[in-house]
Amino acid sequence: VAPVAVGEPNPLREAYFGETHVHGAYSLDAYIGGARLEPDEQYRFARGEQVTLYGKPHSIGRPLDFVALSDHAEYIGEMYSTIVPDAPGHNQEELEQLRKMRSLEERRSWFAKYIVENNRGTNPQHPPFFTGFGTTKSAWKMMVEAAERHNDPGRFTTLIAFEWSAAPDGANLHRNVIFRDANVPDLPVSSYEVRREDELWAWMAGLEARGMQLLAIPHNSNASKGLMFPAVDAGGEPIDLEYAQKRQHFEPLIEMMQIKGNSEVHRNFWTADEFADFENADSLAKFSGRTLEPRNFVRWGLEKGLAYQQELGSNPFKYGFIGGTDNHNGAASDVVESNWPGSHGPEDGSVEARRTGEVGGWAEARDLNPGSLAAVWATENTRAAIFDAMRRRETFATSGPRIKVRFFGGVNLPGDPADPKTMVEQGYELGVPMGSDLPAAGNAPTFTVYAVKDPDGANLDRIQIIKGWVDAAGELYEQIVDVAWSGDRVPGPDGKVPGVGNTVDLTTATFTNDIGSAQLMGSWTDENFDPEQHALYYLRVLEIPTPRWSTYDAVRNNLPLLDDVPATIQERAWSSPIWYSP
Amino acid sequence: VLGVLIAAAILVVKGPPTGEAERRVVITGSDLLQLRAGFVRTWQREPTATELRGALEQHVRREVLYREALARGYDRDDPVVRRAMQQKMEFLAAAQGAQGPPTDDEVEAYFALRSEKYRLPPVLSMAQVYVNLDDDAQAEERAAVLLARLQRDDPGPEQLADYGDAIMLAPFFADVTDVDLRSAFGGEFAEAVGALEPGSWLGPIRSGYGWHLVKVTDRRESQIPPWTAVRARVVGDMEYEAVNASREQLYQEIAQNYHIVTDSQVAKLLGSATE
Repeated sequence: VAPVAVGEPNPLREAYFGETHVHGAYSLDAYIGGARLEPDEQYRFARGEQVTLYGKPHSIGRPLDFVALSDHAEYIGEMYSTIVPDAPGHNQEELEQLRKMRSLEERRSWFAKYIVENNRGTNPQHPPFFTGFGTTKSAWKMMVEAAERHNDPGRFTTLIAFEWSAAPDGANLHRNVIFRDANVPDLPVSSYEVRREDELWAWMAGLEARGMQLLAIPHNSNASKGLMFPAVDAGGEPIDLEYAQKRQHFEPLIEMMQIKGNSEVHRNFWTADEFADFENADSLAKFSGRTLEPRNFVRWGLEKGLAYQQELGSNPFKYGFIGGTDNHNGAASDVVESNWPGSHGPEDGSVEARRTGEVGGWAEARDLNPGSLAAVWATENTRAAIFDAMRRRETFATSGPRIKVRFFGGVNLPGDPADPKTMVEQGYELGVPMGSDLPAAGNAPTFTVYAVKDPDGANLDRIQIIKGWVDAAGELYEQIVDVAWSGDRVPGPDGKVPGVGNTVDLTTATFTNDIGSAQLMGSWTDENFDPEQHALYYLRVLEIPTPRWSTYDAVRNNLPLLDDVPATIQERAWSSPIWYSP
Repeated sequence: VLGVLIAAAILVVKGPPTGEAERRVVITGSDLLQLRAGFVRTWQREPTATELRGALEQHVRREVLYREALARGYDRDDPVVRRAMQQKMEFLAAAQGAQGPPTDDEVEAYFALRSEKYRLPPVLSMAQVYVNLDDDAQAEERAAVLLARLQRDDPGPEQLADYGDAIMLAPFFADVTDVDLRSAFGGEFAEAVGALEPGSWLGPIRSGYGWHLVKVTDRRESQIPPWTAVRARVVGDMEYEAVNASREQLYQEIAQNYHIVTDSQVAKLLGSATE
């Protein structure tokens, strides 16, 4: 008897959903919050099994196709000492304390004493209870072995990963580093060894020279104090061609949205984008001296990248889009609004905390969201196929639902596709998919778009194409086009399709699929195309309105709705862009 | 140097001359060697005499406070201490459970006892034709007409694209499980198809997308695979279980030595609680 059959590779590719960013017991900040899920249990959770989370059974119901556990590399050695009873340093007093702490105050003061104060200044060091790289090596080995054990080609893919967590002066420059296979170094690299992103790329280049394949995914540009898309490198020099080429090579993807906010755009700066008011996490700017400014957002960064392409000959911010949660309960892709138990231990682990508390140093809990889902178009569910899809940026992110989106562009692409299968075949044959470059051309390109809803979720409202471009003087421009929408709505004089309506009953936190559509398809030709201008195009799909997690919380517990967060949201998906260069 | 230090230590800890045995703290040479080893492990060098003296003093200080706390009964009524001691026992048990990889014989024996757990899910193959809800009122009627056509023509997988409405779903699914169907069509559809008789076109069946006409072409009931096919999973489960089991075993061994007595009020309170 053969185990359940695994399909043949599909040249037209399948959508696989997963997680690229999650912290369990081996991340010190998660452990302090009470996270005790170790890799074996985290993988079980990712496969849809039920685990015990802070004493309560919890599951995501539907298995993921792939997962990358991304513990903070900084302290995995310290955590090995903490967790493994016969590890060196296990009996140190500080670690005894760490294992026993119960109250939030205790945890915060321990964290402040050993981690926050320790990391201030220009030359942070490992805390005093670090017993040496032997423990880091043991922890990493354990993680790699667990990933190997749970990798099940064709059914469930585990990608070996870690998070490099540099935050100079509190600015978030974190990167998740993901490997293509089990050919990995003996040790991951932390911000103690490598302070800034250019040094991280140098470290990655060293591994590539030894035949390893890996990529880095930055996140939370919204919390980067303007440093995620900088004009100067870590040394203060204006970025140059070499910087742009390196960054583009090592960082093909960016995490669009996570628990600590959606980084696409912010309603304050994108006033013409009627859907920019989505999980803006305004309170990030109240903590750690952060700023709220346009250059913290992905759309700005990607458009600015076009200006660098024009100026330097290479685009440093040529990012495809991917999702992740940054969940600190160890719970991969715990993204369902209707049963969200929080994400950061006790800081948002109760209804009370989610309504009134804050996640220390980050944001008010009511501002958080469950995070986003990663998706790739790959020929099969294996490490190689999924990593290669990430490398070629054939990826998309969703704010949680398993929406599938297709996006192709090409000068010779026929418009008005007859059906999705033909559209996909023609897309690959005559055009390029999401994440690619349009070949140089004199004619206007046509884009074909398709989206299908989550079979267990809400209907779709519309598909939009967002175009960004730059003129010869380096000025940035953008345009948002409604390409396909449900029902017989007619665009207004401003070209915008009217709202889809709202079926949410706020007294019961329910909605119906009486509005919207199960699938949407269409095409758009860029009549304003200027072959001399650098441009990018990406797709955004919106669901019909559904209750926000805070509304489910309120209804379940018979509490009033929170008045300073939206009661309903339009969940969405973003495809990686298609770029054009003259 | 050690001798002098120990003498000093004994002087320090002899404390009030009560003569009671529990107030006597003896520091041996091996205690001090252990302190020195701890220092070396943390700082990667030998301690100086001052540092060693400091470590000893701290050790003595802790020991004295610990003894006094015991004497005052803090180990019995402080919830933090009680929890720490319970945790210590659990850690010990977990460490005992973590042994080397199991042999093939052990894996096979483990599997034989729990083979039901590794039962493979039922697998089916099916063809499906989609009817969208764009004209909601007529959708079911269109589905009924289409069903009659499908039953008459009984098209093969290659011809299925000529029937029904277009959607990004394969017309034919080979060897899929309930989990696969749920992920492709949603839970409602997967449940309905799981109950269909194979061999003919049936429906319409509702999914998250609309209506589907379905023909199950093949169904294989669930079966138990040979242990070699699921070896990695079995080993993973064995290790996972070993840690939990040794925790439980240690508890049971210890619990045997205890006699648990409950008074009448306990039974009354338990009886009055709602399930």
